[in-house]
Amino acid sequence: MGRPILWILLSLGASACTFTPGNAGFATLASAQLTAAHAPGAARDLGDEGLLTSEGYAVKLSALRLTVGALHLDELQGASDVSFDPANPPEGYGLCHGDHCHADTGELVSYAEIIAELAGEDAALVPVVSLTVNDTLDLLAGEDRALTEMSPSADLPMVDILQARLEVSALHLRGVATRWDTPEAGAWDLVIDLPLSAPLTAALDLSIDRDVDPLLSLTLDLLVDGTLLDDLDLEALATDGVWSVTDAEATTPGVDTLLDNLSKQTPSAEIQTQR
Amino acid sequence: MNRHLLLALVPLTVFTACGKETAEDPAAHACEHVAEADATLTAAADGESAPALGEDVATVVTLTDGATGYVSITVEADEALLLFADTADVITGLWDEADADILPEGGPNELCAEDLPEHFDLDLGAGTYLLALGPAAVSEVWLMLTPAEGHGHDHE
Repeated sequence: MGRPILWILLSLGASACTFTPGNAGFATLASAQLTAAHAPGAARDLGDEGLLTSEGYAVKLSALRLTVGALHLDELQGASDVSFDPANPPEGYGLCHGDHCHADTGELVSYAEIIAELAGEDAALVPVVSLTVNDTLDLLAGEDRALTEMSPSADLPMVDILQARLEVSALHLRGVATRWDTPEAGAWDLVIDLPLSAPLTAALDLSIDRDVDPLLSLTLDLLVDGTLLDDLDLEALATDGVWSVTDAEATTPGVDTLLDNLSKQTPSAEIQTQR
Repeated sequence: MNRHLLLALVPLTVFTACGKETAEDPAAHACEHVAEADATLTAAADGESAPALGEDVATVVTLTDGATGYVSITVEADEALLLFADTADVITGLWDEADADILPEGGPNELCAEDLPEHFDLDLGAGTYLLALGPAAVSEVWLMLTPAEGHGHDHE
């Protein structure tokens, strides 16, 4: 089956149109919905908020919350005539599909990030519109929120929106870990209040122009899977039966792994027309 | 026209139109075969006795209860492979002969994400590798290891 060739052409300023970012007009973000939940998946779900880690720990969660700031829809600014063909990825990247490419380093990298990289140092992903959340999301209870506060406006100019970016400023987790195969071996409390600055991004591919339906609705779904505590030897990390994480210092054992696991939680975003 | 003759001509026409054997997208190939089990294996508790995962074989692997189990992958020459799984987060490592975990980040097969929620791009050199499976809360996993460059598929 032939892979459909997707060309993403950014020709900022090349249009004969005189509209500039900030000018209202081409489309309106009529609604936005944010959902978030803990979804460990069949391989890791022990039921009743129980989670199985790759190191063989059964973790009974009593709290899992994310403090988040704004949700941004980003465009690329400062670039001109950047072309990116997922069927012919740039050097350093392999197979591209599903809005991401496999980097030679083993990471999954979004199309938006690759385009920004190709655009050079002067280019940056900047918000077209920012939606206020500014709250702590309870992932165990599940969240489903309408986002109504938008800055600078729900009216969107003629731009190419490449990604949704959710600011995350803290991870809060409470739980008790035991060895899954030998629960009698001991129990370790997890007390995590980790401040961080780690946006979670979701790829988008929407060109707002005369052809797009003027009324748009956004949905962003954040499902935190069962890998959040992977590759962590919780017994070894605990002191006096507690693994306590209250800062993001690189010297704190396990923090790098925890941050890496969190960064791999990829939300999904979709913009639909309301017709 | 004779019904049997018509049936005989249809595939011939398709073959002529194609002109040659074509390569099928390996992601689509995996989606087509996810309901099949061409082989079954039981993951071994240690690497030395790990059974071999065949290339391009839809395989159901019984997992090790409560612990990590292993199957092996042997590559004769440098090869780009795709590994598909019907359950996410069962595959927990890929160990090379230098005892390094080289498992890259996985993602769903977007052509059938519900059936195959995870796959990995593997660029492997010649050698034998150990695929770590679990621990997991499921008892088995469906796997397919297939060349990344496309699966030879006869459209006759």
